[in-house]
Amino acid sequence: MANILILGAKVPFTSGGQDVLVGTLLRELRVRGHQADTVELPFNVFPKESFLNQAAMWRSLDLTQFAGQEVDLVIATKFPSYYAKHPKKSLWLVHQRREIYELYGGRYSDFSDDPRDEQLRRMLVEGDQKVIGEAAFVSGISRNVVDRLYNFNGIKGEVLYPPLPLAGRYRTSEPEDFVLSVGRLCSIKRVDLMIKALPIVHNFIKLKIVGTPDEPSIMEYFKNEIDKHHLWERVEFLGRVDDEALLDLYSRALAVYYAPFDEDYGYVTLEAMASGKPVIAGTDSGGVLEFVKKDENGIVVEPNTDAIGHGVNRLAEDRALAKRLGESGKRYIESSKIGSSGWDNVIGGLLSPLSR
Amino acid sequence: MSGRLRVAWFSPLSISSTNGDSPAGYFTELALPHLRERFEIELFHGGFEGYRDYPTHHYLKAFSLHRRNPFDIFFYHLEDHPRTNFVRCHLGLIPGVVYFHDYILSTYGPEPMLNSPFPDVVRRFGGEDLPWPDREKSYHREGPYAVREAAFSAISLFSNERNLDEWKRSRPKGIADRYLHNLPGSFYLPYPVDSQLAQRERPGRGIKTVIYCGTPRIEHRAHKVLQAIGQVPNLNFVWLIDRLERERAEAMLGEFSVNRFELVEGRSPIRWGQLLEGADATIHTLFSVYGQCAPYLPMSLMAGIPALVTNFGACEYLPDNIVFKIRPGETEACEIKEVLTALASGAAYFDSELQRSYAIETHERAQVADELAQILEGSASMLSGLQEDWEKFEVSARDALLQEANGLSGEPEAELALGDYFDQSLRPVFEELGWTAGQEGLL
Repeated sequence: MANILILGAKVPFTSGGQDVLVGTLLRELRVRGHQADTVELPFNVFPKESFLNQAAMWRSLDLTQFAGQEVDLVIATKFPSYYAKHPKKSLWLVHQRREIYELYGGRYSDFSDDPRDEQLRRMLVEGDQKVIGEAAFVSGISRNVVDRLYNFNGIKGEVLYPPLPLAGRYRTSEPEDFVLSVGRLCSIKRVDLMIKALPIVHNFIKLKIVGTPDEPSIMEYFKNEIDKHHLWERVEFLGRVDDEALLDLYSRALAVYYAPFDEDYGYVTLEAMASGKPVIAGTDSGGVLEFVKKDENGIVVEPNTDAIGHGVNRLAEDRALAKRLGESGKRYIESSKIGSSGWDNVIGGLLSPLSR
Repeated sequence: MSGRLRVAWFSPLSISSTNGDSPAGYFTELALPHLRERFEIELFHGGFEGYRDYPTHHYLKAFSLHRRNPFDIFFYHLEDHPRTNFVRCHLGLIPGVVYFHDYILSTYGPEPMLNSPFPDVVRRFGGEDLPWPDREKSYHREGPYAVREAAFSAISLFSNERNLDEWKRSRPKGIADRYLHNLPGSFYLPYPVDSQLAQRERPGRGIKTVIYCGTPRIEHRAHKVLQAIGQVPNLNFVWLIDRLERERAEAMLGEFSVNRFELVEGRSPIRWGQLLEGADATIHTLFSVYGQCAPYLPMSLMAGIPALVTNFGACEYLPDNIVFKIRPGETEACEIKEVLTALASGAAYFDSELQRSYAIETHERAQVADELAQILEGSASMLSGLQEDWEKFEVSARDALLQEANGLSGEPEAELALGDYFDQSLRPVFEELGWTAGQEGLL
């Protein structure tokens, strides 16, 4: 059995897929008898100039031994945790600083043509190449993430899909008249599109939103849209909910809306499918589309309010379609390794440097 | 070393259908085979696909490739279309030669560049004693001109003379002003066209098939064109549209009772070239400061068949005896109808050879490529000086960034604390990763 550290970058006061990934990996390593623990440093997105220091802090840590025990392996996850140094470093990449790669030049990046921004981008790209390149095992949480790493940094990796966090507990109930949205509340998740689509969605359909704000002023923006369209009775913010409440919401939803821009992976997609619910995704939703197939197990639409609204109406009007898509998704989950059986494969890959 | 100048060529490429109607993609397609004999060219675009047998890269990789094997010239194609947003981004990172397919822009461009501090950057690079731009400061785009892009343009090329005039009228202080001395900083560079395009025997008198590639939007005057077409009997009207325009186009055809028509989807120069084979006349109406008729109009001119154009914008610069100029406004539909009627009956005078000789003189592809080659070669020395200074400027930007990174907290006491921590713990890491001030090799 090995001494293993999972390296996570934590944004205090928020929670998302990264927290789930670190927590479930820790649990599974311990179940398999390893002595595992997490090392997390707080990560701040602002100001971007601080990225260099935050990366360097990880790099400056001595992670080779604690309390007289050698650390056999570290598993890095997302920027900047992979800057950590260790003779046996596995990478299970959640994402890099996306605003210097695939988001560069778009609305979700704040890197301008200020020459200082460009120098920062170059330093981080070259830093990423060096520190990821030294990993003994490189993998990513989706094909999308692994392809980005190859396309931008020329580094190949394996795809290791994170298994469902609550595998075996998802259930399906009769659909009720609401669409469910789950995830952090920030612009790239595009919950606003669903809110703004509601005026063209049948009046009896409501929207329940699970998640906490992760961006300044985002709630004011949402509330403004709700006021503008008189949606007070149709939109409900539930904040963070516990596992049981989440399972219940998934089970009763008509459909699950999950149309972020170029998502890395998206637990929500798979949780919805495991709950027998169709997913409403965008044509540019990235990793989500590795699982959601148009009119097979979900609705894939252009990322605009009209298309999303009409997509919801299709499901509201044709319950048989909603059921068929949901069942198809559930069958996919049952036949894939996304359930708990997938952990052997994930851990086998991440721990492979130990056997070298 | 081959001794040839190395060119980093930024353009949308005619790989995917979304770029099929890109004028820049068209130019690249036609000019590169001639230019590759004189230059070592690597292509940069917004995707990861390859393009023919050219070395092709994603544009964000340019800096590392440049460091490994420096480019002599960065050559940018700019269009008024989101597909060239990547070009707009990158020319602010490394200045170069810009080919303005459009200069008056209706699109706002990549969002992070909307707040570009370029006016202050240009002034600082020009030697003014200014601090680095305040990160909280807001900058606003003034007017529809590509002012930011012009500021980063060392040599500006224009695909039509009207845009060149607009540039001369409105151009801001540019990054290359102090390097130009007596060199011209701007050129008119027309679109290349294959001189063998759509050459066939045509009946001497009377036209039967008219082709048109305007959008159904107001600026391409489809409402005027259709009003006229509907009144000229026995004409076959072929309209090259984008797939998304079909519904609107069909509605307009119905509205103006045009019965003999064919809608062809997939607007692109390639498709236009195919349609020219069977065409007897073309219509290129445009009444807007945005957009242009190229490369479709030059292709029509090369085919040597009558072309109707709006007497506005770039078309005003065309000789009167090679095209039929239509005045925009109240009489527009009537004028189009009169010209088409006269052409259909054979009553209109049209000198096909004169039109073709103009097109060959202006647009022949090898000649256009040669003109571009001469401009690039003639500017190489100036660009080299500019690039050298830009790289020094980049080093000073890195120094400023590192100072920011090392003193991030606002409180003086905290800064002292961070200073100690930085020196003891982080500095070795910065050195290991090459994140150090003024280090040669890390641009």
